[in-house]
Amino acid sequence: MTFSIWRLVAAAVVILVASGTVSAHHSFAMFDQDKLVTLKGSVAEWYWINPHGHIILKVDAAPGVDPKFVGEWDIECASTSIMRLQGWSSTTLKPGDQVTISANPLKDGNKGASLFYATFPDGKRLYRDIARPKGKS
Amino acid sequence: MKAMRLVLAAGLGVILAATLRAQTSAPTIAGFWLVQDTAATGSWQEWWDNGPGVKAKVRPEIVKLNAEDAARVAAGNVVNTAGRGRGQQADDCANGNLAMSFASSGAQEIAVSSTEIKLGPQTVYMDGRPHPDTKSPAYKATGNGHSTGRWQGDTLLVDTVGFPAKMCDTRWRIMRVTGGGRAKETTHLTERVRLSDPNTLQLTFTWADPSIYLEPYTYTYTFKRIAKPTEDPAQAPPKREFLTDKYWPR
Repeated sequence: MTFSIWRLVAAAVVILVASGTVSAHHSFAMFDQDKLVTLKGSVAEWYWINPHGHIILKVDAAPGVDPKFVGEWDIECASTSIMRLQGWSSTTLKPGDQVTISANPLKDGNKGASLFYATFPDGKRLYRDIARPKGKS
Repeated sequence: MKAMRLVLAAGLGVILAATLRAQTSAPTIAGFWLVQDTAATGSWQEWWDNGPGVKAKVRPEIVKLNAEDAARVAAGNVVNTAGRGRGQQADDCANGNLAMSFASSGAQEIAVSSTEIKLGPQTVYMDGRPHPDTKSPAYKATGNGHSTGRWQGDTLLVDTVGFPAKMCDTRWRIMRVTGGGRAKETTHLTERVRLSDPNTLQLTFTWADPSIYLEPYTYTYTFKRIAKPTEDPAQAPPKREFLTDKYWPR
């Protein structure tokens, strides 16, 4: 791509990142980041919204499932601009879809968590954010 | 008359050649860029807390400040009661955070015009203007400071001052920088922006402030060029409540 006089003349002043909102969205203090829970269930609701998307996940009782995990979970995601870059979209999930969520749970004990990544039945992973576990792509 | 036309044409030719040389010698940093978690920490929070593999060496009083803020947050002080997020800002505090914006995993856009470069959240003035008097009551500090820039060969040098003395965030009153650093009205930031290849951009930050740092704090973010992100507009927020609503307003 070469610079041209006309590109210099044409002022492009779009800013994508709203820096004023970043600090609030990147405080995860209410989540236990030393703990990772794995929740296998079905999507009840999928919200492609800002500042945080949400997956409402229904975990059913079943052999091998810890009873304290059974119920409806509120999985908080990142903003649509961040999630989109990881491959998420408004159509990634729909009610009834089976998905396994790996997330950091709320410290207050409620059934809420911050998404780390989702694993789909075909084995595909979608992460919330750019960070990856060490050694994994 | 003919001689005058020749002189005029030659002069225009010299100006055009100089302009083209200036343009073609400047790298093409314009576009969309995605920061890479080169430390492979596994979580954004860990990456932010530890810097991209480099922690800030800060004065003992800043170590104490960081510990006190972290303890208050761990004890439950997780809600910013200063009103930020609701569009409110007091006269004695500021919003925005340049360091956090660049660490954000959303795409950054760099746009270039003849007088300024929009470097993600920063406006970098390229027209030779000096910094304003940041001590003047007329200057309104934000977490992005005031930036001026110039090219040095293939490297964009950015100079930023004018960070706020206090943030509109009751959890962290002094602006946070990655890796345990802080920034305030006495802080001076220099950045070096260059392409290591046409699709890889290196952005090196050096934060200097003897009242905060034992030595200037330098780290580099690597960005990869991406295509312009496609549109997939967010849906309208639903009327239902979420468990985390009490921690930040929607």
